[in-house]
Amino acid sequence: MANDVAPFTEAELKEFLEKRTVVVVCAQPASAKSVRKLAMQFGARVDLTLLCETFEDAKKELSSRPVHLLIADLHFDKNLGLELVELQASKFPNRLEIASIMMCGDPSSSTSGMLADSDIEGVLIKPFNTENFKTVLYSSMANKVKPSPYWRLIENGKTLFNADDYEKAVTVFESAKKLDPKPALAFYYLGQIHRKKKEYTQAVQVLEDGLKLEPKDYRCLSALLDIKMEIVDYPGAYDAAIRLHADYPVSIRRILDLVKLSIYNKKYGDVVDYYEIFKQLDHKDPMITRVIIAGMLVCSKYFSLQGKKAQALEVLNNTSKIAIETLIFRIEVLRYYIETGHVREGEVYFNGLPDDIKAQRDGQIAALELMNASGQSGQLVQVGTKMIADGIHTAKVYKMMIENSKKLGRSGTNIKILEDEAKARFPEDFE
Amino acid sequence: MVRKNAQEVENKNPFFTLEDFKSIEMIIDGLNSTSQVKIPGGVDAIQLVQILPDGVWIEVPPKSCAMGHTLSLHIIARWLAPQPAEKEYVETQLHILGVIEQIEESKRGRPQVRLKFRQFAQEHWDSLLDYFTQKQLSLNELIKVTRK
Repeated sequence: MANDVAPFTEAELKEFLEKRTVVVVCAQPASAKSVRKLAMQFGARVDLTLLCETFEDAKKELSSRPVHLLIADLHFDKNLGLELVELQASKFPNRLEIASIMMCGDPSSSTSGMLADSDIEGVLIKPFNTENFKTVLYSSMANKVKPSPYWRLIENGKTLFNADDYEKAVTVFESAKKLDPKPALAFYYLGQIHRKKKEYTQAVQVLEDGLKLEPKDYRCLSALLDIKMEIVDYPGAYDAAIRLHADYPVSIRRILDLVKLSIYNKKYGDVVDYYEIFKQLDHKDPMITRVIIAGMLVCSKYFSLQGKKAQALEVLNNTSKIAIETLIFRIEVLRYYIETGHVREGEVYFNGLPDDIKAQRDGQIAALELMNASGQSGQLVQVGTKMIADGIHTAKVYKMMIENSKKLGRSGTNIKILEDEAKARFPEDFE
Repeated sequence: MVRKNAQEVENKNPFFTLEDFKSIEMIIDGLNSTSQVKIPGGVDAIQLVQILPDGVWIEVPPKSCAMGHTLSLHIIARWLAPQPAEKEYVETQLHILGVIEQIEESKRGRPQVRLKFRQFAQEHWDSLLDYFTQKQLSLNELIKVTRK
């Protein structure tokens, strides 16, 4: 194919690299020096190959000068090396002249997905050796040293697309289509132009046309999923997700949408898959955590309704671990233990929560719900009376108090007082 | 489930499968034989950084070793076996004995040391290196096909 690795000699790579600036960003000096030495072995010039030990230094360097080849650690505490890639690209009209390589330890499936989703040209896995470095460098520079005519047009079209000059971009991408037997990338950008113009039907059609030529094209499949989400076609988006992730790892960026899609399409069991991916994440974003917990809770209820009690409990136990670790939705998890009939396990979970959480308003109400579920009517009425006296007034508390007072055979006067109070405070709930 | 249903799709990618992107499980326990200080596996464990012809660059906890010290590494690793295979996982254990020939301190990160091998099981070491080479090739292919 015309856009496959353009063959170039070692001498051509050397000639290309020796005129360009290389920046190596790595917290460990030994690694940084090794990578610089290797880059220089393949042509990078000593005076044009710079080392940055911190993320901040790298940002300064990339802001102050054009950097052609960036080789950076993927993780810097809470920062991602991918942020540097954007900064590097901002100095150039397109990626014909530049390449970025991320370095990381053996990446998880979701990290691999995230890297596939980015604009980088290569990933160097640690531990690396000279041969692996050479392989990554060569494949990263494939469309830089000797770009094919097809690739040149794609990059030029991207420049026009990014400048919102859609008319000219269409002409360029249409020309590109003629230069490659499977020009799926040209179709992808044509689809993106329609998407920008909110011509969704045409966008989907163009992407499907591209997929006829290259059924597994990542960009076309990925764009199809994005568009279906954008137009709120959740069944269509779910189908697109199936097609995309049949062959490609799930990106961290997508987990949020995929969990939502599973819920919207009632494919609750899928959430367990995403939980497995979530577990491996180095940095657990609070929003993703919330969505995973919420999805897992819905999933547990689904399993419970299906009579799959053991699966429901397993999901709940996994959810409780995340909730305790991340301090998110801790009380909600307890409610699902109760709702799915796992009261004893709920008690164990609740007893393990910190005292300050139990003492909070929601914690006290949850404790009352546990007593209600486990049939401890006497204790419930005693604790509930104190809670009402302390100003914890919710319809749920009153309902549990009235029901359990009746069970205990308390005097009609006591129950009447509770019912009157409840009606006065929550008329809609106690009609 | 999304991926499991989808695996029924025909025309699988010939260069990599989703299984290729599952990470290795690796624990490296270290013992500084000179100072008799243990470096247990875990969050602050030793990490492999770069493979050299006669040794390896590793990342170590601060102040765990010095130049000339002898370091003993015990590596336990498990990864998905390339299919078809009799076993689902490849498991390997190896001992490496080496001498620290260079130390690079870091302002922000952990120190890295160059360990020159004195004793190690070549076959097990090569098997581990094969995993990383294969993973590198799969990832190269993933990046390549997602940019076509």
